[in-house]
Amino acid sequence: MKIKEELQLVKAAREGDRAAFNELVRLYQKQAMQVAVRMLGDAEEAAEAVQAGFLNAFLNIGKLKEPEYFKVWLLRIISNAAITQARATKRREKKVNIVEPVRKNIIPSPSDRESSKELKEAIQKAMIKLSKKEAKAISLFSMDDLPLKEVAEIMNCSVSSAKWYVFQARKKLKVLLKDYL
Amino acid sequence: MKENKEKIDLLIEKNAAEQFSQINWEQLNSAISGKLDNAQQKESSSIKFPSWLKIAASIAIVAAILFTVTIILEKQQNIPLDNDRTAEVQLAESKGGASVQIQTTSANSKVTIELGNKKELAKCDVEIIDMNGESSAKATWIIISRPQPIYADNEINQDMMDIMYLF
Repeated sequence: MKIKEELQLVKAAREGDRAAFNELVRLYQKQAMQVAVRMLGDAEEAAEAVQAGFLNAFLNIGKLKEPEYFKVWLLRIISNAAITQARATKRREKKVNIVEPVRKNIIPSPSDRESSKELKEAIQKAMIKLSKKEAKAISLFSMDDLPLKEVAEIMNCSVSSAKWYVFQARKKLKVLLKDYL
Repeated sequence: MKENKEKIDLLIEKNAAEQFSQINWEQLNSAISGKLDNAQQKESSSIKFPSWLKIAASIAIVAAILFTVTIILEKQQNIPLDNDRTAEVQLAESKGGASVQIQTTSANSKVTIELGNKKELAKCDVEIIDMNGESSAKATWIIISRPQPIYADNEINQDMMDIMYLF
C-alpha cells in the first residue's frame, strides 16, 4: 500500500472510521506480532499483548497529532503492551512459585521440538530479567525491516542510546542464555 | 545495522520464527476485532456529558476541595509556648460553637475556649501538638471558660474542673 493511502487510512481512523482502523490492523498486525513475539518469546503471550495494544491504539488514535508517525506510535504502544504482559506473566509465575533457573545443563538439539519449547521458555525468562529499555531495544533491533532510526523513535531516545541498550541487552542475554549459544 | 548481528540476535530470531509459524492470523484478527467491538459498544452505551458540563463539574469539585482546605487551615493555630516552643491547635466545632483565643499573660501560654452562653454542653475537641516533639516538663494549659460553669452547682471547685491539663 502506498504511503499516501496509508495516511488517508490513519486520518480516517482518527475521525472514528472503524473500517479504516480495521485496515490498519490488517496492515500492521504482523509487524506488531514481530515486536511482541521477540519481547515475550511466546506467540500466545504476544497475541494477548498485540490485542491490548491495538485496543489502546484504537481508543487513543484521536490524540495522534501527526498521522505520518502512526507506525512509530503504534509500535511504541505495542512494545509497552508487551512490557505490561511480561510483568503480568512474571506476577503469575511468582504467585504459583514455578520460577526455574534460566540456565539448563543439557544443550538442546535444534531439530528437537521439545528443545524449541525449552528455548522459548529460556528466552521468556531471560527477557523478563532485562530492563524495559533493553528488552525493547534488542527486540526491535533484531527486526530486519525496522531501521535503527525508527527503533530509536519507537523507544523515544537517541540512536546512540538505542545502540547502548542493545549492547547491554546482548551482554546480559549472553550470560542468561549461554547454554543455547 | 543488520549486518552486525550476533549469535544472540540469531537465537531470538530463531525462536521468533518458530513462534510465528504457530500464529493463526485469522483468529488473531477476529480477536482484535472483537476487542474493538466491545470497546465501541461500551463507548456508545456510556452516558455522554457535554464537555462544558464536565468542565463545570471539575471546577465545582476543585472549589469544594479548596474551600474544605481553607476551613481546615483556618481552624489550626500555632500557639507560642514557653521557651520558644510552639504547638498547633486543631479545633473541631460543634453545635455550641467555640473560639480560640491565645493569651500570653504568663510564662506559660494559654488557650482560652469560649463556649458561649448556652446552657447545654458544647462539644469541643482540642488537640495540642507539641511541634518540637519534646515531652514537656512544664505544664501547658487550656482554660475552658463559661459564663455559668456546669460544675459550680455541685460545689466542686470550678476552676479546677474547667482547666484541662494537657501535658
